Amino acid sequence: MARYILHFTGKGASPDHAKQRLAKLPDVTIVDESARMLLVEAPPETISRLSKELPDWNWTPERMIPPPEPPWPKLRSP
Amino acid sequence: MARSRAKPQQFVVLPTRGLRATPQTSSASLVPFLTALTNVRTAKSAKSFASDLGLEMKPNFKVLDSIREDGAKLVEMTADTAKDLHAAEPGLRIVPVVWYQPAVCRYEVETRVRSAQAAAAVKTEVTVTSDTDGKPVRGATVVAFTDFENRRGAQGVTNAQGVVRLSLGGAATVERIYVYPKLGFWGTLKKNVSARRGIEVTLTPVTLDYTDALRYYYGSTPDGVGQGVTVGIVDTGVGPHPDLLVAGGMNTVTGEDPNDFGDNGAGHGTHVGGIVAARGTPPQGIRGLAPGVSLRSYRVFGKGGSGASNFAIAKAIDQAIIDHCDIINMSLGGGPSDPATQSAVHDARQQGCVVIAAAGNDGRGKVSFPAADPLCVAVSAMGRKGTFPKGSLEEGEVKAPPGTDTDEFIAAFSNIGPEVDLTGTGVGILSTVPDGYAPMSGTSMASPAVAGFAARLLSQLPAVLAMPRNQDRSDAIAKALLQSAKDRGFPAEMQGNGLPLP
Repeated sequence: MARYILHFTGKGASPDHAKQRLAKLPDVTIVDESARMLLVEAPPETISRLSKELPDWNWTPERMIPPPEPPWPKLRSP
Repeated sequence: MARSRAKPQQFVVLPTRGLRATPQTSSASLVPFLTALTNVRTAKSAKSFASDLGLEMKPNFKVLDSIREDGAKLVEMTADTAKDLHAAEPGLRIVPVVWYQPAVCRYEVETRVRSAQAAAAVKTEVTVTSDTDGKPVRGATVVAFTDFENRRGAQGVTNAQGVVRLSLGGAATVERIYVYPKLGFWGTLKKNVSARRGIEVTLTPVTLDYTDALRYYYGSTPDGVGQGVTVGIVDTGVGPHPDLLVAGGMNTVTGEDPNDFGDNGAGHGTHVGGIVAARGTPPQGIRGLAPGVSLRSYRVFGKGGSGASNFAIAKAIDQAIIDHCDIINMSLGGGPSDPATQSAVHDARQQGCVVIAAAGNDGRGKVSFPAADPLCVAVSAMGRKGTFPKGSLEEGEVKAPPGTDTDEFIAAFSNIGPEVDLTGTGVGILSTVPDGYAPMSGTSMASPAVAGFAARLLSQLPAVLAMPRNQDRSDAIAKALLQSAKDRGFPAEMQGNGLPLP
């Protein structure tokens, strides 16, 4: 299932009630969290719905940044 | 259009942005297209895939691997089929597979000679020794290009005798041979080397009192410089190393131990941390620009050498803010801008902390994200002739135009663009790595050079250091840093405001 970052845009730490609400949803799993963010697994339509219901939160898909690499010429596979 | 008879090759098929298709970043049809493509493992399923989507194309493609159903795929197909796929879904990005090395010299991919040539392939022996005592150099990665333009050749790692045997297809001459030692030596580049009777390469050992570019511009740093300032390194983890004192940190990789914020084995973060805060004494150890800082490590790259998620990076920045870091160094980046990382960077600035980031190493490519974010201090890499040994790899990074001082250059690998704020020393920089010391080059090294200088500067500005942690404070730090830059005579898109100097 897709993973999304929910980011609290209000002041201070994110309120507990949003997390508690998300935890009750059957198709949402909270994978990780920080003071102002939640990493959740959920279907896109659920995220889309939640973004309207939680005005102080925005969301973005999780994505990966490649490991840092030295600037060396590389072989190309045939 | 004539159809070529090209053999199938591997391509990476990517959504419009990032690694996974989302309704926000891709057309509505792309998610189901990629999802359906996931299960194309045979000619039969390829035929069915094409038929279901009404595509007129040969079923001569198969998916070898996939990043999630809605994500990027590794596909074996001909170039013609790649064009057909792209025509069916113009939002797709289809690029040939390119094999990259991880952050340290651990090459896993070798160019395989074609089977017909394999039997006749002649193994060329490459011997790597120290130029001071003739002892073999073990564990050095040797990359030999028989056709540099097309990146053809072979690579391997030297054994205990300093020897590696490479299948170069009987080539009489190697156009370029690069040797990347693990640690303790400078790498080397040799061009147009005869391979008829094997190749012998000697390497220069690292001495810790060597005047590299960092020491050329900033000299020897007294104890305690940088005291009162906290610097966070968001990277592959820092230390342990005898020259480093890591005050704390966090591993923000989901599923890993939060307290395991030491180096993940790649060595990159330990090198970066050493440039800022190593506190050894040459020639037994090495010293960074601000050995008195409180150094914190935020590991965002997992143990297995995988990438870092934007969540891990944003969480690391969040934690660094909570830990009252004054400066955060991010020698990482790539891909499109990302709202999560961007929000974290902006939060940092609002809470008195400045984020310094590497511009990227794509050879005059565009400044990568997050360095490209307007609130990051983006750093390109410069070098100076004479601050690395003759015949070393670093000689290959010299590129026009020269600066006002004609020994100076913006590294050939460095990204450039209007987002560049400053340039930093990033060619042949000696620093700490797990189990020793090594030179490294990259904007990854230039960024912590600027971060270390910023820490040094901030420690001399008690009024700024004591300001409430808000935007005014981070603006004051950034302003002092930018105003410390000296014009080196390069175009602004290469050097930004210039090189920070005392």
